[in-house]
This record gives sequence, C-alpha cells and structure tokens, in this order.
Amino acid sequence: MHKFPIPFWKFSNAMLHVNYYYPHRVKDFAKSFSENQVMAKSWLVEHLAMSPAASIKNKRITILGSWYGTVLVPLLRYYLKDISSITLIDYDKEAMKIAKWMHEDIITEVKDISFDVKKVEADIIINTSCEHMWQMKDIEMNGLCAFQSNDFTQEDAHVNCVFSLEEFREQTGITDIHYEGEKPFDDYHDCKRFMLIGRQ
Amino acid sequence: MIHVLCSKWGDKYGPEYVNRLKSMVKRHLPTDHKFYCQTEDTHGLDHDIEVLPFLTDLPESTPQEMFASSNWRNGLPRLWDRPKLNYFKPNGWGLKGTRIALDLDIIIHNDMTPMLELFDKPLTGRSWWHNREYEKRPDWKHRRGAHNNGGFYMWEDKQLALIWFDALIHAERIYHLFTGGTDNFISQRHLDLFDFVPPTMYYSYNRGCEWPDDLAKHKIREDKIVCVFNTDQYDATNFELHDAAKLNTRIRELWH
Repeated sequence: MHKFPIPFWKFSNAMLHVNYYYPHRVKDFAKSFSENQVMAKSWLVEHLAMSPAASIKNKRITILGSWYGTVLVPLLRYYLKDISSITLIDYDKEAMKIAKWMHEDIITEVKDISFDVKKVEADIIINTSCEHMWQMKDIEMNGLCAFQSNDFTQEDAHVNCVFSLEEFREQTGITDIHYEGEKPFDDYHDCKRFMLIGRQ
Repeated sequence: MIHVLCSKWGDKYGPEYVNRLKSMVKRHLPTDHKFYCQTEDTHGLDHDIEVLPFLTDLPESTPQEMFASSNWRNGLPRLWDRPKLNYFKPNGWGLKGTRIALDLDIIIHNDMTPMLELFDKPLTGRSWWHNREYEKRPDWKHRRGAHNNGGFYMWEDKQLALIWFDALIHAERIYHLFTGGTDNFISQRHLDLFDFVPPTMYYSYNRGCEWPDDLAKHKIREDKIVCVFNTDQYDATNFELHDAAKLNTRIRELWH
C-alpha cells in the first residue's frame, strides 16, 4: 500500500472521526477528497516536483487556506523529498484540529489570511484557494509560491475570482514565473482553474 | 439621553419609514432620547428628526460613492450597507453617551424598557430563527455568514470603537470580502463584543422567531418588542414592510 501516494485507507477512519466528533462537517470533509480536489492538487504537486524548489534540502512548506490538507499533505510527502516542516494555516479552527488529528508531524495555525498574515517565509508557499480571500500580492511572500484560483463565481464563498492568468498574476504579484497554466474547473461547469508557480 | 440613529439612502424606502420609526420610538421608548437620521435626502422627513450627514472617514462610504464604485456582486455594491458603519465612530457627529441604532424596516410593538434593562455589554439582535445546525457548518463560515441581526444595536459610545477602527484600517478588504453586508462583517470579526436581545423580545416577520420550534412566518407575535422585516431576494414569500402592511391590518395598526 505504500505505493499509493494518497492513503485512501486512512480516510475511512478519518470519516468516522469526523462523523463522531464533528457531524456537521461530514459533507465538507467528504468534499475535501473529491475527484475535483484530487485533480487540482495533483496538478499542483506534479509541477512543484519539477520546480527549482523540489531539490531544496530540509524544505519548509507553508499552505495558506489549507482546509484539512486531506489530499495535498500526503501528495507533498510522497512526491517532494527532504521536507522538514509542513505548516497549515486556515481560519477554520475545527478544520485545523481535524488536520492535526489526520496528519502526523504538521504545524497548524488558526489565522484569517485576509487580515492576520503580513509575511510568509518558507521554501514553498502554497495557496489553492486564492478565490476565497484577499489578494496575495498584499502579503510579502519569501519563497516559491504555488497558487491556484478560478472563475467559478456562482459559489458565494468565492469572493475574489479571477478570469485570466494575466489577472491572476496581477492579483498575486508573482512576476518571476516558473509555470503557469489553466484547466477546466470541473466536468460540470464551463469554468476554469488557474495556476501560477513562481516568485513575487 | 439616548441617541437613536437610523439611516436612509437610495429610493427603496420612502420618508414615511423614517417618520413612522420615529413615532414608534416615541411611543415605546420612555427614556429621554433624541431621534436622528443619517441621510442626504431630507424630503418628507418630519421636522423634529435631526438630520445627520453621511460621514466621509471611510473610503467610498457615502451612498453616492458606493453606488458609483465598480466593485459590485449579486446586483449590489459589496458591503452594500456600509454607511451603517458610521454609527460606530467614537463621538461621531459629536454625539456622546448611549446610542441605539435601528433599521428602518422594523416595527416596535411594545415598551422597549425590558431591552434597555438588559444593557450591559453592547446589545444586538440575533438571528434566532437561523437553523443553528446550519450555522455550525463550515460553509456558513466560508461564506462569512451572519449570526447577528443588525436591525437593533445598543451601546455606549466608544464601546464599539474597535469595529470602527477595524473598518478604517481594513475598509477596502472588508468591503470586498463581506459581500453580505455589515451583519456578516460584525458576525465574523466582532461578535464577541455583544450580548444578544433574546428571542422573547425579537423576531422576524419573514423568518419566524426561534429555531427549531417557533418558525411560523408572517405572524405578528404580540408579546415581543421588535419585529424585523429582513428579506431574501430569492424568496418570493418574503415581504417588505410596506407590502406586508398592505396585506395585514395589524401591521398597519402598529406601523404608524
């Protein structure tokens, strides 16, 4: 089973844990490993693994707006070697508790990224939910950034969507670009997901 | 002396809303008070209403600037009721002491004294009619959903200065992120400053009183004090106060 990059067998236990202690979160947690989530996070890790940061020894990784890190944390651990720390930051206190329970040896911080984070220092800084929060260019990012957003405005929580890579570059302040691309958001909507990997 | 504040902008509500609110306050607030309306349109307002100008400390916060801004979502400017933030400016308009802020679209049925007797921490309405199980769900937080109902606020000047300074420092991002309105902003960032008016005193005509057992809509609850007329633009069964008054004799009796 160690050849599976994502430990799906552990999700059964995690679902039971969530169902028991946080029954109001079952649907939310189930969504965190949907096909769409696996696709988006795989796309990100695939390109991160080919980035210059992949070869850094004792890498520190920070994930902004991490949610539970259900798919992303195991993918990072599988495909990127020499990770010294993974820090998850999210304003959702219960999501951070569940993440701490699920993943071994992670650091969690409860913070509202739109208001409480001015500067991030890490070798790799990930944010796959830029559409949920204030623009990343107002945070000083010291590290390689791997950011995703989308144009799926129908979701009320998506308060900061972008409609092109050009707009996404402007919103994040990323100028030194290692990779940029776009993909269909999912199989059901005529929307796009955008990704940028680079430095501010 | 209590300063009672309300605001009127745009053309959704006419001056009769302000005049009737003032009359209801006069009938049901036995404490010494003065009634103010923050507005740029004084047409039709009773002469004993003190008119307050829109403050300009917050960027794009006057109705004119707000409607001219390009940052809209779901057919409304983001943080569409941002002029209400002016209430929280310490010594705003030179007013000192206790303040009550009321939405225009409410009816006050009964003596407000029991609400005043609760006052210790700042007070606001609570959306007791919300399904509390839904409020716990993560998507509620992700949508920066509201828990309070800003139809009623009561506080001592400066007790809510934190809200004002947060708005001053972060105006642009608060407008952008809290698309639902000031209730959403206050619920997500400052709710711990408040106590809530209990459901024995406060309810919604369109949503009911208290989840889960008292949710009958379109029912006047004679024993309560304040009835709010919050509406959901996607719910055809919701009535604005003036529409409800056309259909319901009792509301006409109360709303004058």
